This record gives sequence, structure tokens and C-alpha cells, in this order.
Amino acid sequence: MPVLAGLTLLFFLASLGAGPVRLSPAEVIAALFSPGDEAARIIVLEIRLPRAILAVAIGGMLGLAGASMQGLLRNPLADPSLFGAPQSAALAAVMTLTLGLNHTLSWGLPVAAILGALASVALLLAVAGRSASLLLLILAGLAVSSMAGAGTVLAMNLAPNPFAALEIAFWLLGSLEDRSMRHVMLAVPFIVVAMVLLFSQGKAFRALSLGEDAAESLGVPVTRLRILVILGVALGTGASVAVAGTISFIGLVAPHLMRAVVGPDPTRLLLPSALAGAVLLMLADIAVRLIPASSDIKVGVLTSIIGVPFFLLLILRERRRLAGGLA
Amino acid sequence: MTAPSRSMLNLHDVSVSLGGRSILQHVSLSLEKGRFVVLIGPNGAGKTTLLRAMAGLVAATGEVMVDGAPLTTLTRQKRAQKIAYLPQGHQVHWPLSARDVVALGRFPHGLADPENLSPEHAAIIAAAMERTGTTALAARNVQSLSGGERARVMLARVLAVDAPILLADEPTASLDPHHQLAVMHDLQTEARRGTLVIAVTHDIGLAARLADEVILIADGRLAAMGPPAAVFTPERLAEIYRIRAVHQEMAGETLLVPWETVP
Repeated sequence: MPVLAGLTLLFFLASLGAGPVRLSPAEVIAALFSPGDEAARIIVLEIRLPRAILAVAIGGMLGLAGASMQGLLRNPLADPSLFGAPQSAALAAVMTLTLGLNHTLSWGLPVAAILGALASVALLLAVAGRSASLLLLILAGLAVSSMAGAGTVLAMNLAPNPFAALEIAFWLLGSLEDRSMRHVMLAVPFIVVAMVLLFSQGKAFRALSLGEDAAESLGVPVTRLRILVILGVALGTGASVAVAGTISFIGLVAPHLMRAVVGPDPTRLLLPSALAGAVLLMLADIAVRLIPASSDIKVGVLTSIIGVPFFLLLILRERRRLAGGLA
Repeated sequence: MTAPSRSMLNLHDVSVSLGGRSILQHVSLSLEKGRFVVLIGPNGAGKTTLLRAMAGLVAATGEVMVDGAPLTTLTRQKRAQKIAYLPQGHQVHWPLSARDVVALGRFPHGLADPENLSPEHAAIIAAAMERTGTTALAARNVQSLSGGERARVMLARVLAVDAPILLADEPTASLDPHHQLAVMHDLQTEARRGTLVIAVTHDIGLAARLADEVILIADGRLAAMGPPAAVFTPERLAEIYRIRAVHQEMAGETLLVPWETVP
């Protein structure tokens, strides 16, 4: 755990130093804390600091949301997008892009995205019912996310001009470029609330390992737990999508990585998963700055491209382990 | 049957409907502490539903009283401390160590982190594993245990709750004879320590031999209740189970063996 926290700090500083103008950690710290080189100060404080804060907050949020979803569903393949919150946030954001609202109202897109994520929870519970079983919730979640996906495609289809369609497509790829402190102020409070909510429920995931009846008999309010976790995941991923677009696979991969380090206990996994998510997203965001390419690689694309083979590898390893465990 | 004030668990006119279908009808019964009670009945009779109603896991009409207090007035935590419940199937969804699983029994008593145990929690967990003969399995991954070993680890988990009422749903299902006997024996021992133990089983033979009391459920109703000899009459076995059983007394114990089906 201290190693993870140290890594988080290290990559945070690296993230402030990486880019077209390279700064050493000493220069970064100087720029942060003492008025000196004005150019370095502006680069670090106004360009790179918001980006690094968002990477930590969003990566951490995605890692925590993934670990919480896996704990709730008792399944290592669960992912924060399962109940459709990020997709709904993306749909709401894309609608503001199509309507051009983001140009008239600068905060229109992020606010719409967060509202979209919350609307998905309302829709989910309306379809599945408040005390629905997990299976029903998963089916309803599938319907909500498919609907949001279809809506997003429709919004692109109806985009007023090719430029708007391209803007939508690029936005959907997920990026932390050119984010300001305003984005930080918009997203981070929601993310903090979501994190507090999920961490406060964390204890119950261990009891849930025994199934819902046993957990209920141990005093876990299973129905309320489900709703709170769905709400926390929606709020946190919605706020993430609001300022960074869609960034996939971190929620899935971070808990997997940490399971190998801290063991399978779903409660003990929460904090390490959050830290691992933060490290992964910062790493990806530093990488997109360093990879020489004719056009910018978006961080969401990178997490997917690295995440997918990695995920396959994990499944293969899991398969071997499971096969061995049964023998 | 109104409650004697000393009864540990008292059901008054309890009915349960699920999805508009009546599963359990007008069950009233009263059970004392320290009894080993076996809940028995044909498939689909409502045994699991009755057990879940006793545990407060399913919405029921009528009244369930635990140690003199209505179940619905207890807080979740109080209820969890009073009633330990072992569901069917003995499933564990993560490859936790046996000891971590048993430690979950301390959850209602505020245990947050099984890696950081107070001496009191540690002693209760160790005792529960000792009594079920699972101490040697402590560090093993529960998912890699045999069915019998896992059943006994799960039994240790409910014993660790240290509740005055222990409900176990088919704790011996699909176990070999050794583990069936071991689990039933452990449950009987727990009852002798003062706990009210209620276990669902299909094994009429073990019920007749070991139970202090048998609750026979048929078609969602209480068909009979009392000492095994009074409940397992040839007429009831024929009517409710549609079997004829061989009945012998041996070394002061009852031997009841299902023998043949009757139409």
C-alpha cells in the first residue's frame, strides 16, 4: 500500500513534468511552491496541474468503481459501465454537442453528463424496481446502456455538420488534454462524494462473498447496498465522463491487478484498486504526451488498446488457475 | 399455542406468499433454547421458506418473536447477533481463506478487518474452527476444499456468530456419510451448549436418531411437531412422504430406514 501511494505521488510529479517542455521533478516542485520561472509556473500550474489532478481523481474513481461493482456482483468481470451510467452520461454530453449548447454554455456539457448518469439510475430503478434482484438489474442495465449507445449514434447521425460529428467522435474517445481548474472544480466534488459513498459501503462486500441471503442474515441491508453502490458508481463515472469523455478498461483492470497483490478479499481491494486506477490513468496520460504521432493519441484510446490484450491475458491466467484449482 | 414466556423462538400464525402464491400458511410454534430441532418435509413443502421467515429474510404476516421480542422491532445488527443463518449450497464467491470466511461470523459483532482481530474475536473464531475440526484448514482457499470440508467451514462460520439461535438449511446435502454424521453431531453438540438449533434435512434416519424435536411441514402447513417417535408414525410417513419405513430400536436408539414407496 505505501508502495502504491508512493507510485501515485511519483507519477503525479512525472505528469507535471511531461510534455513538450520537459521539466525535472525539482523544477516541478520549484514551480509549484515558489514564484520563480514564470513560464514553468504557468505550464505546471495552469496546464499540467489540472490535467494531473483529473487523472488521479478519474483514474482513482474508475478503479474504485470497478472494485465496487465486482464486489457487489461477486464477479471479477464486472465493470463500472455495466448499469449504463457512463454510456448515459456520454449520451447527454453528445446531445449538448449536437445541439451546440456547449458553445453557448461552457458548463453545459459536464452538467448534462452528470445529469445523464443520474437519469440512468432513475431509469434503471424504474425498470427493474427498487428491490429488484441482481439479475433483473443487470438486464435492465443492459437495456439502459444499449439505449444510451443507440441514442449516441443517433445524435452523431443527426449532427448538423461533419465538423460537429467529428467533434463528437473525438470527444467520445476520451481525453484529459487542455482541461482547466474549472473542469477540476466541476468533477472533483462529485467524485469525492461518490468515493466517500463507495468506501462507506465497502465493509459489506466481504459479507456479500457468502451470497445475498447470508449477507442479509449478517446484518447487511442488501437492497439498500445495491442502490447506494449503483448511485455511487453512476455519480463518479458520470462526473468522470463529464470532463474526460469515455475512458474504458481502467475499472476492470485495476482491481484485477491488485487482486494479485492484496488477495481476493473484496473489501481490502477497494483502496488499492483506486490507487492503481490513478496510477494507470496517469501513466496512460503521460504516455499519450510522449508517443510521437502525427495527430494526438487520445488517452481513452490508449487505455483500451493496452487494456484489451491485458484483459485477455488475465482471463487466460484465471483459466489456468481455475483449472488447477479444481484438480 | 400461545407463547410460554421462556421460549427462545415463537411463531404465531405466520404465513408467507411469494409472487401471489401462498408458500406457508398459518404456522404457529414455540421452541425452547438448547433444543436440537430438525425441520423436515417433502420437496417444495416450504421448509426453506419457513427457515427464512424465522431468520427475517422474507416478508411474512403473523408474528415471529425472538427471545420475547418481535423480530421486526430488532435492528439489523441485533437480529444478526441473535440469529445465525446458514443458507443452502455453501457457496463462497471469492477464493477467501477458510479463516477469513469463519471470521465473517463476527461481522454482526463489529469485526471490520479479519486481518486485525481483537483477542476476543480471535478466540471465538478459533473455538468455532476447533469445534468443527477445521483448524487445520484455516489457511486453505475455501473454493479448493472438498464439499465436506467446505460444509464444515461454513458451519464454523455460523458458530462464530455465537448467536442463541442457529438456523441451517440442508447443512448435510450432498455430503458423504462421514461428513453428514460429523455435521449433524456438531449441530447436536451446539444445541447441548444451550443454542436453539434448527436444521433442515431430508435424512429421516438421522432426524429420528438425533433430533430432540421434529417439525414436519407438508404443503406449506405444519403437519406435526414433537419428539421423533411421535412425529414419524407409519400413517404420516405413508400420507406425507408416500413411503413405508423400517423401524427398529437398537442400543436404546431409534433406527428408521426408508424402505419402499407406497402409492
